[in-house]
Amino acid sequence: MLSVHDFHAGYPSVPVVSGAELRVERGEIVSLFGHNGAGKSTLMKGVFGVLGDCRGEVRFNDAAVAGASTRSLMRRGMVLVPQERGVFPSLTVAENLRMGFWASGESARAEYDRRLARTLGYLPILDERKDDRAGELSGGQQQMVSIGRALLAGPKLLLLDEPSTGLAPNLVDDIMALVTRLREEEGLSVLLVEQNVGQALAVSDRVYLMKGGRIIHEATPDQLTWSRSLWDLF
Amino acid sequence: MIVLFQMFVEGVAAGSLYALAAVGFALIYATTRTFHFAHGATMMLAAYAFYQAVTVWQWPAVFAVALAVAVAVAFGVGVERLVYQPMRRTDASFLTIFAASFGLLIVATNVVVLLFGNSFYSVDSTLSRGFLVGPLYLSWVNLLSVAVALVSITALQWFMRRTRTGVILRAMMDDAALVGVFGLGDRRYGMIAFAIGSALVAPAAILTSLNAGLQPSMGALLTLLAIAGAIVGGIGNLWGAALGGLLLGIAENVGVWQLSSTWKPAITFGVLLIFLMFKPDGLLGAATRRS
Repeated sequence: MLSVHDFHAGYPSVPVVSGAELRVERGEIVSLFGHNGAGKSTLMKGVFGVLGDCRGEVRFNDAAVAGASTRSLMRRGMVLVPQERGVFPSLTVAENLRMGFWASGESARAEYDRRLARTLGYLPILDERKDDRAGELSGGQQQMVSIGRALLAGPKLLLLDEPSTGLAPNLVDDIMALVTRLREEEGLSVLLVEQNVGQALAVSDRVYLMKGGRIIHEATPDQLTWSRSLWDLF
Repeated sequence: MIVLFQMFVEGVAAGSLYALAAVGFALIYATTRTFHFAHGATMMLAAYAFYQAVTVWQWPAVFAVALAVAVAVAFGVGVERLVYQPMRRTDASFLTIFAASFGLLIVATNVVVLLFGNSFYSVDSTLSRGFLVGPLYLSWVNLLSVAVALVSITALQWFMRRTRTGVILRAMMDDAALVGVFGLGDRRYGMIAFAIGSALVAPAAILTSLNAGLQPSMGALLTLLAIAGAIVGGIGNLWGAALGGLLLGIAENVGVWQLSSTWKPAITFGVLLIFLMFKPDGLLGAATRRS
């Protein structure tokens, strides 16, 4: 579904990621682990076309998409759930969700209703709060809005950038359970950047370890759990 | 006391026009983060276009109004497309864009001076007349000012809440970068914000020219009033800007009850100074931030 080859990303005159290689198969949950500053979020943003200074090969659903705009990637089914929740605080929950639908390039009312019903099935709290401003919700609820908005975009691949930041452990469990359900019931692929290694390992099929802007190892959760030498790598 | 009521009525009418200018400025600023100092130039050009059409060319009023709106929108969108957007693409700083905007106001003012001279012009219209309601004198221009402001701001409220473009513009007011992450809110939306913000000053331009006449300095004064209204209302909050503009109009008219009318600007900017010192978030700014 997604393959990244010899990918370099960063900011003007500040290279952060160099020579990254990774892949995410259909229906797979893949996690990127590493310390702060390792380049995980930069790699994810670079793949999603948010950063200007990127080079390398990115293929999504067998199409070369390196350098494609976020608009084009969203319409192909690659959707980013940004760090720090990233809701529009003065918009209502319903309006936030609608932003995701519009980003997908769809406009048919029937399709919107279908996606909304499916999303609210996973996130019923959003139905109760749909007329409230997103800025009035708790941190956990805002994260649900952010994920719900991504689901309205009709994703095939979700890029989740540290969804547990600032959330209580039980809410992180809820989010990880939701990610697992989306994979099982919708066949979604997920690339997850997460500091909360333990909870992310529990839902991942494969993991990549990043250090100093490079991917230094690929492993299964079992290998990482039982290998002291892998832990020592980062 | 009657005089005070009369001044309050005049203040509501003037404040209605300031509200339109302030809402236009606030919309442009909040969506594009451009401190559009040339906003007053839009108003001045619309006013002179209206004057030229209705007085010199003797066009029917409806066509003259349409020309004024078209000139306002063309100037606003043109400046965004040809000046601000290229500057943003080169990562020009806020201050650089502000300086360019300030320069645009001066250039536009000088162009008007070249074309029309520095003289004061007035537009003759039956709307300048009025009628008595008890002891109060109401002019048609004043009534029209309040009505146009109410209709325009209500229509904008509907547009911002009920249409896809309006919701995306509100999202840009919250976080334009995040809107970009969704591949929405591209350059077209900046131009839409400028088009709407500029169109809102056209009625203010027309009604001001009917009520108070025209001179090239009107652009700079209106820019300052729009900025003051937007700050008093809470910078970045459209409805606060409307309230701020209205408040300034009432304050400057009621404030000269026992003073010469030359004190009006001092009162307006005195109110602004008080807000900056004691309530810098403005009337509705803090509420918005909390939410």
